Amino acid sequence: MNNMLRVIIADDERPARSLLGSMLLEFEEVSLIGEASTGTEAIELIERERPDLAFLDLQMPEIDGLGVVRLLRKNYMPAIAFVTAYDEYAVQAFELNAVDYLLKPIDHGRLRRTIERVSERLEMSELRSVEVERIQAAARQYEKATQSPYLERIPVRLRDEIIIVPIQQVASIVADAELLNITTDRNDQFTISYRLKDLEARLDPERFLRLGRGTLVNISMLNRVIPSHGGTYIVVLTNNQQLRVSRLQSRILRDQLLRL
Amino acid sequence: MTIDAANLINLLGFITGGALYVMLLFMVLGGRVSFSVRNNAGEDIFPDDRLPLITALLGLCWNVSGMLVNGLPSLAQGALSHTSLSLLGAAAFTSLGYLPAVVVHSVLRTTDSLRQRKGPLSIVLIAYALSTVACVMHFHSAVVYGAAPSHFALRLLTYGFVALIVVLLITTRGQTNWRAGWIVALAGFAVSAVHLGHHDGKNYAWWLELVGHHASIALILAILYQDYRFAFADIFLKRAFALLILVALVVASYVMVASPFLSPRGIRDDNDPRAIGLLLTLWVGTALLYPWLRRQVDWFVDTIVLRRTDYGRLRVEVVSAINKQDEAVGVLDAICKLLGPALTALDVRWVSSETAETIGQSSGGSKHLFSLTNQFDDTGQVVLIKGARYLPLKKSGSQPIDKVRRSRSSDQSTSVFIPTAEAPQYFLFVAGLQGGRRLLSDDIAMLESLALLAARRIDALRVNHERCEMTMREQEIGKLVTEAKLRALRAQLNPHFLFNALTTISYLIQTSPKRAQSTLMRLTGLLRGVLRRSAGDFTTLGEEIDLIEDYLEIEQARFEERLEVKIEVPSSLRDLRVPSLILQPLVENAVKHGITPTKSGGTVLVTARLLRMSRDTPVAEINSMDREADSILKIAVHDTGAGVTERELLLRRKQGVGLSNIERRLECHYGETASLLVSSVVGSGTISEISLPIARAVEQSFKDLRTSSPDLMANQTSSVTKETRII
Repeated sequence: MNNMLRVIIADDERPARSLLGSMLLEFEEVSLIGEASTGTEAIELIERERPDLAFLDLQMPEIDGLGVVRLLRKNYMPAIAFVTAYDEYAVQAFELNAVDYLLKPIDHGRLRRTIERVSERLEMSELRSVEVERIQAAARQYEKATQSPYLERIPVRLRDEIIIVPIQQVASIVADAELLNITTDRNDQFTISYRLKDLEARLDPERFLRLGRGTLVNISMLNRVIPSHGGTYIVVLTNNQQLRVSRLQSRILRDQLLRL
Repeated sequence: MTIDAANLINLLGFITGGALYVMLLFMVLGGRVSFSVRNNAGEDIFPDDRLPLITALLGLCWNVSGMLVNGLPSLAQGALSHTSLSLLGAAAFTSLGYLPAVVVHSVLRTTDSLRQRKGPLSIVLIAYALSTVACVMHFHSAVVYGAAPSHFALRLLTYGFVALIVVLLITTRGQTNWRAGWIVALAGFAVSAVHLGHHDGKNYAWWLELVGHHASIALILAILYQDYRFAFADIFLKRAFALLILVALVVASYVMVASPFLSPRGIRDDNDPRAIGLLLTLWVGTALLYPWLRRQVDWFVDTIVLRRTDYGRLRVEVVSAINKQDEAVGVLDAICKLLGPALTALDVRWVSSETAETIGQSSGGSKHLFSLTNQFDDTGQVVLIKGARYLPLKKSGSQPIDKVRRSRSSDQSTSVFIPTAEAPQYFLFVAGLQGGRRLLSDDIAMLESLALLAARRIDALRVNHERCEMTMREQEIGKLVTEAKLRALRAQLNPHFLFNALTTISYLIQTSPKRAQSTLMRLTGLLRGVLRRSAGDFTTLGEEIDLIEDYLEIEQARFEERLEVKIEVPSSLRDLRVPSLILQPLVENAVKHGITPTKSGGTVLVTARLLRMSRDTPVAEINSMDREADSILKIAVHDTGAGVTERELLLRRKQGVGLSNIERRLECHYGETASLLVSSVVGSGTISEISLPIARAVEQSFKDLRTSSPDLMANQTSSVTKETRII
């Protein structure tokens, strides 16, 4: 049974999962190897079972469908088909970026097309990274269009675990090439793959302050400000982390924060 | 004593002069009483106001004593001793001698800051000195020689003041032209003095007597015309003109008609019936003509001499001006703006009746006007005084006080009630009339007619405004209802919800067809319920609860054990009247933001309770209610889900159409007596609570409506049927 298409379903609503599961039974070439009811479970399942195709519901507790894709390690990435009941913005973003999606209630013919397409791609062994890129572009576009509310939690990976860091525990976010280093108030370090600009857009600007091109800091963690050369500053956070402030941001800091 | 032309002229001149000065005296005294302005230190701010008074007194003194001494010498000689007669003469000539000095003072006073400039001050001092010297000489002459006017003194005055006139002309050149009048009057004095200086008891030609003895008349005419133009014209000029024309007419008719008609026939006999008939005809004709003549003279004086505004035209202007305004304040301002120049009043403004209520009542609330003496208190605020009533005027729009003061206004001020149908009502207040103007009956009639016009316009505007506001309110409610309906349609038919529901049903078809059928029925009921809500903006609490039950049942099928629903609404409250679709958005929010984001889910609890208003009700709750309401209905939607931060809640409330729509609709229907409170704790859930005032009367009438309206009967009947069945 090597040719079987290994599939998982992630949806927080059991009826929806069951319905999709029963529909998949009709495809002989498909084998359903697992179900997940949250985003965290989905990541675990995918990394454990390494399926060929994952049906991800867009709306799930804790980590949504797009979050799952973002947190998955790149070489574990299966083919993804997003599932949503109705979401104009998502559909638009997916179509523009050629990301596969299904609408609830799922149409049989449409499901067949998705499965056929995935099978074709597997045969052509298309580069996974291209798909990941497309999905991430769609995710950015979607978040921009929906003006999603400020993040309250950031899900991060620590080896095999997914840790959900409440935003108030984040002390600083420092960009490092494609990755972001997140330091918490207890000096725990996490790395996520995200653009600083995109993340900043989803953070409350009253909570986070830019210190330079690649640094965001939690304002409530600011402890000391030390004048440095050329009118710039070095800030010391409550976790004793030291960060240099750029010239431009030093001026803003002086005008906004260091004034009674 | 024979009365020749010169004597007659003399006598008439003194009488006229005396009368005119008496008039000036009254004017000045009237003006002084109302404009005694004192600053904080108690000094009179305008002490120079004494000058007109002194002028009046001096002029009066000259004319009275001059009449006794010169006009009626035989009469005076009979009554008085020679010594007192010469003393009286001395007094008369003294007054006359001081007059030019006072006039010089007046002229120079108006070139301001007399005290600082040495030149004018010295001129004034010289003038007074001349007069004083002349005064001493007159009395000396009277006591020593028994002859009143000292000819040397008169000559001194003549030359002295001629010199002063030259100096004055030089100093005041280039200034406003009216001062020329004063100077001409001074020149008259000079002539007078010249004449008197050569007076030696002979009878001169009548015109010489007129010019010589009565130059003071020219002066008083000039003063009156300058400062008290309206009063002068109204009291004196109109009558004088009318009389003059009448005399001219009589003389003319006698010369032109009667004489040529009678003489050739040699009718000399006074008893000739034809002559009597003719004279009678002329007399009757003249009498008939007189009113017309007065009108013409009035018109002539008003429009040509005084250049008073034509009230007919003013009315047209006012009508066109106020029709352009669309607010009461604008109407009043427009009238004030036009009235100011028309009445030559410096201070025309309007007062709201809220401040002027007491006075409004004192006049019986009618359109009657009342004269008020205005005074300025030391804070600089204008206060109207009538009896003991104080009426502080609105400070805005009032003239700066010193500006009002600088015009020598008379004491005339009045306020006219603007009889609008509804409060607030207004008064027009007119003060600071210039040129000694008094408000005459036609002015007052005009003011009243304008007040009526303004009232009519304001009433019309108010009615319009009210209608407009009502329409807007209705539109607003209509819009919100439509919005809520659309939203509800979108929410219940919220594609997301609808497609999820359909997904659930299609799953249930496979696993439990019965459950699938009931869920489908719920969905049907929900859609029907939402569509039926388009009938009106109000429904019963029962129907609202049915709707959200349908909604929650479908969501329960979808979320299964993650969503628990509790609805605790006493059946006694099901008939209460509530705005339709006001609960559904709250329940939807509870599911969307409370249940969906958590894996374990939670409970949605809907409760309703009625707080009866009684003495036991906590004060806080009474305060939050309408007094007319008997009770308050509180409906709460509580979820034990995710909860949100304060900030997120605020953001959602600002952006979310659902919550703001509920808030706005509550406000439209109940004003401030209804409220929507949302509070949330992260991790433990959210409570949204609506409070509505329920008036028993409304409750009752709504029930009546339900029973009487066939459309709504169905529901009622079915419940009745159920009851009978149970029985």
